[in-house]
Amino acid sequence: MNTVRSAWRSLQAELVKAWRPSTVVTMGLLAALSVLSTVLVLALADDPSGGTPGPRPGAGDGPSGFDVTTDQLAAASGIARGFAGGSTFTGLLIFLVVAIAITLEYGQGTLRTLFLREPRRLGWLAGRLVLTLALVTAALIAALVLSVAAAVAVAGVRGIDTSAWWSADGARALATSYRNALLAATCFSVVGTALGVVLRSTAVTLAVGVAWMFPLEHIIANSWTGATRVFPGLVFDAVGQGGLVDASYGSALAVGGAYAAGAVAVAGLALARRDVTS
Amino acid sequence: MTAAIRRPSGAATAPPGPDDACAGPVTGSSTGPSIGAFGASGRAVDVRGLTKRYGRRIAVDGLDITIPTGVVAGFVGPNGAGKTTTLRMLLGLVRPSGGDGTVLGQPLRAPAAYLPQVGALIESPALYPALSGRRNLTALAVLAGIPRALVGARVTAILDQVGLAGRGDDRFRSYSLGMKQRLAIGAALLTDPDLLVLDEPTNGLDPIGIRQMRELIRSLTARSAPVDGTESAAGSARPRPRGRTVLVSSHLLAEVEQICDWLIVVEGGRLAYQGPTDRLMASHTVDVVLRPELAQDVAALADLLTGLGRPAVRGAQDVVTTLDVAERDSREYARALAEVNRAAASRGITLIEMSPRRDSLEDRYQGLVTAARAGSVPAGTSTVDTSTVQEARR
Repeated sequence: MNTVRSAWRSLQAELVKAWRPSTVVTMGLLAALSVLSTVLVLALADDPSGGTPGPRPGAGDGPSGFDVTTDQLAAASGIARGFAGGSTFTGLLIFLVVAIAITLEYGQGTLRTLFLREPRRLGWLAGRLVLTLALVTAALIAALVLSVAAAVAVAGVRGIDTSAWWSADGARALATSYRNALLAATCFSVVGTALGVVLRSTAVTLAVGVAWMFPLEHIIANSWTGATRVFPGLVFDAVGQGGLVDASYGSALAVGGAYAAGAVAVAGLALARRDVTS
Repeated sequence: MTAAIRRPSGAATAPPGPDDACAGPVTGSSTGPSIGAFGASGRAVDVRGLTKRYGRRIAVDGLDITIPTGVVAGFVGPNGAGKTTTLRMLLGLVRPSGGDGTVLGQPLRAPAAYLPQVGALIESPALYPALSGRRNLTALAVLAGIPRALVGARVTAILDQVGLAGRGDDRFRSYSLGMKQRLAIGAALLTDPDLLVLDEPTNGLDPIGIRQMRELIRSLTARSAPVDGTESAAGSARPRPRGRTVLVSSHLLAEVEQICDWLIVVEGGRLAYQGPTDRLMASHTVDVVLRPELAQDVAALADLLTGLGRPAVRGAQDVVTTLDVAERDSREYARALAEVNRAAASRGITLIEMSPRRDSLEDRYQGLVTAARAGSVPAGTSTVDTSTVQEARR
């Protein structure tokens, strides 16, 4: 019960800290990345009458990949293609933001100030994670709305028929894409926080996290398709995309959930057991 | 409006949970501490054998610390003596490798039980640079469990108390170092703590800043912070039954001598002295500077003193001798001076100065540290009995 009270106080205190322009800017950046993804997906979509499209580097074949045709975009699921395609970008941004935020608590020495006021460290961590996820949830809703607006605008320019978008299937596609993006973002948030708590240094956390989860995993995946089902960055990406050819949605969700649960456990253990010396 | 700041629910009044930092076997009461709870022993801090090892290195080595309630205690020692590590252990930030005891009557290993009643500034002021002073304090007040309805008024009162009322809405990063220190002390005062721990509060401050900090610390011990958050400190000061206990770590011995009535000296992670500052400064002998009117009488004066069986150290203009009486024993001291004066006059030597040469705390401290390094801590310097505690509290 004490931990729950502690988490509630922590959530409220984190909200006081987050209530500032830079939070809005970060959420806006997340929405902008989503809009950019949408514009790229629709603008670069192949015209089915233009012959067989050549493969694009990094293009996915899954339901939400970048390699789509205008015919596919005209389907009901087309309304969410751009938003879903941007989940990798938004995941990267969320990972960066949470990792920097937690390591700055060490770097600036504010963690000791916080723990002097709230010695129940697990409660503090729980409150912080809940607020982070609440902000991510809100940011993704804004990103979804702006992404749809951008999709409608670009579809008009490219002459893509959007009548199927405004159907129940279109709404379902949007809801599914939002859920997947939120789940992926949750995994990125938790892993970013855990890595920051364990490594305590902004530079090291970013070097290890970004270098591994993004370029290195993709390089390995080029020669070993099983990597998509195992490595955290690729697994979270598969969750965000609603599943990929090499990693089904179900398995990606299970592995991603295991990574997230493990990250929470490691972060909690490290935070509760280790001395605060910074 | 007289609504009092309540202790955070579930913090001070409940036993520590399994996630509590440094949680260990809880041997004390599960009820929250109060002034009465630890006032019976008269000790705000009472720990034995406090030890911290980092691998093979021992940062703090079996430290016994007793701090009576209501005193301003100075915590001094050379760099690397283990002061900050000790403070961090008392504050639950660092897990002790050994030792046990109580802080505010609660077990040392259950910091969640006593930290709500402790305010602390450890090392440099660590607050959020992009947030205003007010927002920094608000976030910490909310985290501490102060009811939201009272937070605004409480923060305003604290800003007023630490002299930042006019700059509360400016960003923390725009503050001078002195202002940052004062805001950090304000953060420590948010919950109206019974124990205030300040680690090097004057570090990096200019002489004016040091003076302001000294006055602030004095004011913190003289009266409580306002409890209703609606009036200035001057307007709503609430006298504390036994006063707030303040533990100040500092390198500035002159500052410690001025504001502290209890002293703890550590060297190499070990205790070199603890007890009333007066006791350390007191001595059973006193050096006296004797200056004759004529410089040519210096040699004769020295011979005279030697003849009287007193030591005499000749200078160019004066002679220093040592009287076997404490200066505070004023009658004996005056009698000894009169005896020397009469003897000098009988030889035709007119003395124009007879002044005691007092050791500063720095001299005494140097002696303690040197003795500690040589492994010969003066007997009785680390033991604190009940009568000593009661004397300090008076």
